[in-house]
Amino acid sequence: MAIELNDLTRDVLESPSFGFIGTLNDSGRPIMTRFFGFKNDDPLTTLTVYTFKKDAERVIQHLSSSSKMTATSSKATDFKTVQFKGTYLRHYDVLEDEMVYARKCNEKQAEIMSMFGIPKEVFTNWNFDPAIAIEMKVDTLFDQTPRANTGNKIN
Amino acid sequence: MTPSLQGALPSALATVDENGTPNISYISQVFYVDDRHVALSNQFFNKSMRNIKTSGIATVNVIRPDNLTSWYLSLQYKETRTEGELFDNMQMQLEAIASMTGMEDVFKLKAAEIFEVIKVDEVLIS
Repeated sequence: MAIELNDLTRDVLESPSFGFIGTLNDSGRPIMTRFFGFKNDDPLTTLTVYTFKKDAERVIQHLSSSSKMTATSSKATDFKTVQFKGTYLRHYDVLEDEMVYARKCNEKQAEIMSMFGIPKEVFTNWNFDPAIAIEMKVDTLFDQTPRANTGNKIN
Repeated sequence: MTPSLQGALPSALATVDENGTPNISYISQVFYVDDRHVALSNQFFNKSMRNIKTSGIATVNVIRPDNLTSWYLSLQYKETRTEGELFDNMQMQLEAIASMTGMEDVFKLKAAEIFEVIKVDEVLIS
């Protein structure tokens, strides 16, 4: 069932953000993997996150054992955070237009983080290619912004 | 790795619930205790702490603020402290972090959660 985006979720999805994919390894230990971009539909049914190919191999291996996954995304400016929980659908090599979009997001992120004293090169030197897109079906959203009473369900 | 434990950037914490669903939240502080242990600041991560108390395991990401080099620490839960020198030191550092970010009212330390560090992996970006 499609999820209507609330203001917080829309804000996080439309802003330069960063985040982590959460999966379980073969021992059941929670493992996080950085992603550098994403795309979504609206209303929300699926979220596609882009990650480095060398990291994706591990994620895909985890997802072959347990399809449950999470993606937590935070705005670079104010740390507003949403966690998307759901199940793995598929993965594919990132398409050229997605790569162009991800690079633009990275440039915006570098611009913002430079205001906090982190050199732009820390971000712009990232070598995105090759990258893998991992698509998940989203079931539940949580407001994960660091503050008192965080972790509330959004939908 | 020491600069990554100063609390300049929040750390992501991965846990797992009783149904096998991973969970990722953010914490303000990963505090160096000794060569084998760290303490996580427990301010508001109720869901994560429920998961940790059930499974005993977690993974945390710490980041150097100057160059974003980061590490994943695989953790095993040991104990919770709500008083004592370690708790007081963490509270002081947390107050400093809160004043830098203008969030003094919400950064109240509830407990110091002590973990053994099982494994450290450096994150290579590219």
